[in-house]
Amino acid sequence: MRRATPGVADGPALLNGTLSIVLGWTALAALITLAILGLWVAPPDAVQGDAQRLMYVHVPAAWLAYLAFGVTALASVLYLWRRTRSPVWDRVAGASAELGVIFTGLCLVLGSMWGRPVWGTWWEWEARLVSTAVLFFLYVGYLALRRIPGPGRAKRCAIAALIAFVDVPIVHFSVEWWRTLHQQATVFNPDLNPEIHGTMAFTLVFGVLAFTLLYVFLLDRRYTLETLEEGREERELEQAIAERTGTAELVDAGGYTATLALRLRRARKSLPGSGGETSR
Amino acid sequence: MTTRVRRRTIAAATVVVVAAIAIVVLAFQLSGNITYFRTVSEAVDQRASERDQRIRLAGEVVPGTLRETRTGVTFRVTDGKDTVTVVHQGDPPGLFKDGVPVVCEGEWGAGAVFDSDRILIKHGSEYEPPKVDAKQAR
Amino acid sequence: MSLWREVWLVAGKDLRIEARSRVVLYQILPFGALVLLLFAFALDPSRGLLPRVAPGLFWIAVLLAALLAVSRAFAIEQQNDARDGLRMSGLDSSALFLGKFTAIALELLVLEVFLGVGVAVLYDVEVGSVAVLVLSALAATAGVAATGTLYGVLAAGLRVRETLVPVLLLPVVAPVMLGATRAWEAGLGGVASDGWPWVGLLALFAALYTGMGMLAFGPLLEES
Repeated sequence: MRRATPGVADGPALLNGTLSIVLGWTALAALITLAILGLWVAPPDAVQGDAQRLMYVHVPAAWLAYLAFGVTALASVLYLWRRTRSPVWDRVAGASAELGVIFTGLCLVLGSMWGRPVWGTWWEWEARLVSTAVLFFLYVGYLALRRIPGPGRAKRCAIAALIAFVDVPIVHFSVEWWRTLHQQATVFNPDLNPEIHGTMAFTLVFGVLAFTLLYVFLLDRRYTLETLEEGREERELEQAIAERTGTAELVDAGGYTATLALRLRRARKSLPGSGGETSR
Repeated sequence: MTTRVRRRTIAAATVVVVAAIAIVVLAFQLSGNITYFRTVSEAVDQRASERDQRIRLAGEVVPGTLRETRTGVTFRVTDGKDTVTVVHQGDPPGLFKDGVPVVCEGEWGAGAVFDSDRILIKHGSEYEPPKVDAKQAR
Repeated sequence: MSLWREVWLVAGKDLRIEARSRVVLYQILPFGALVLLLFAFALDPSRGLLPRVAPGLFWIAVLLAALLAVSRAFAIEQQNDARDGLRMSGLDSSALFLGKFTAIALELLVLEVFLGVGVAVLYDVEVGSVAVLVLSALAATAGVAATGTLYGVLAAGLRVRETLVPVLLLPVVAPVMLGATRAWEAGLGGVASDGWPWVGLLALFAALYTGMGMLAFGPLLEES
């Protein structure tokens, strides 16, 4: 069983650098196009009028939240299963959960903005809204857990993620299982018969695509950030150890070594009768 | 893993799966106990026992029954089977008009009238562009 | 050693510590009672509101007290490398989980008896079906204790345990709170028979979280 050394040679990113840049710009272009489609090209709704245009961001945000938390759950399982255990899955889980929380929060806020003119209220205590709010807090707790460093972090977070994921099907099916103010699924209803057509359907699908591109791009960036942070924590730990023991067996990181050599020299000068090891 | 430990792990895992499924089934059954709203006919059936309770009533606004009062509006709601008169204090929400599905929150008032202080519009899940009148388009 | 003997060994240890330190009795119980008192100050008692909201307030007070009880249950494992002792004891992790779970559940039940009497007296409620009240309380307590033990061990070795456990635990026990409140509404002057489906649901949640706890306790204890 290969145990990868964290922070070193796992590959700092999920995607190739050029692909990532291209993806980023494409996502931006797609979002701008979505704004144009959603605000001008798509017709207003017969019943709800222009307020309905919020659907083109609210629904993609909700679906991307499901996707993000699904990725977190899958990555958590892959981490917990010994045969596939790797820090890659831990980083993916953490990065994806962060995006999921953002999308869930966005979904709640946009939904509230949509509900006020259309339902007559900012918020209502019904199954869909409450279960989504609980979902938000479940993963906020996960993010709090994520910030606690230590060797057991990945396992703790993986287990917490799997428990939290149980709410995702509850959120989706809440409108089918219980009587709610929130309408039932337009596309993913039990009959699998979409109730939206034409330009509106196209804009909705385009919105999902644009958000997915954004998600993949941000996931890659966040993953890279996570890898770099882990690497930096490794180096800081080694530096602290080196300063304590007076040796300088360090990761060679350019100016890092020079700075440390300087600090060691100063520290050694201040020691009475200094007879420390010579640095390399 | 010893046999004893493995047996306990399998037992625990089975309990988790069975409990999860049973919870889903039971949640279905219990959907009646935390009804977010009652349909007009359900509310009428339960009127005697729910007279002093705050409930939500759902139905469609019967076209042509909307009248303004000194303090609000009055209209009739129906779910196809029963119809009830609602007296609402205050202004209804923006999209309120004939034929829309609504959820009215309040209590049963005198007799068969429902006193409401909160109206929400309940939208369906279909979306379509406004129908263009052929004569107007020309 | 059989599972039940191991469970009783662990639970007995925790209960003996409580008997000597009396933290639940002299600190957590007064806290729960104070929560009930503060709710009465915060809400207007003269409008007949308290009897209507008593079930919800009772269960919130129990839940807040449970957060402290869970925190305490793992604080006692902090000193003298007690967790290392648990790991090396040779006891099965399911037994460790069930032992801690039993101790927390029993402590919560004692709390609930006192707080229940407090609610009956302070909030002027009428007791309808004792059976519904007791059985739903047993099931809800099991659910809260099981989840609390699971998240307690997850956070056991962490310095931020006290602030972390609430934010992890509360969203997960939200359905238990919903069920317990509805069951107590039925049992306290409502239609008692409405409460039984909720008792069933609470029992299932308790089974679910107990099963999950038995599975996850071992790996989490290794990491703590």
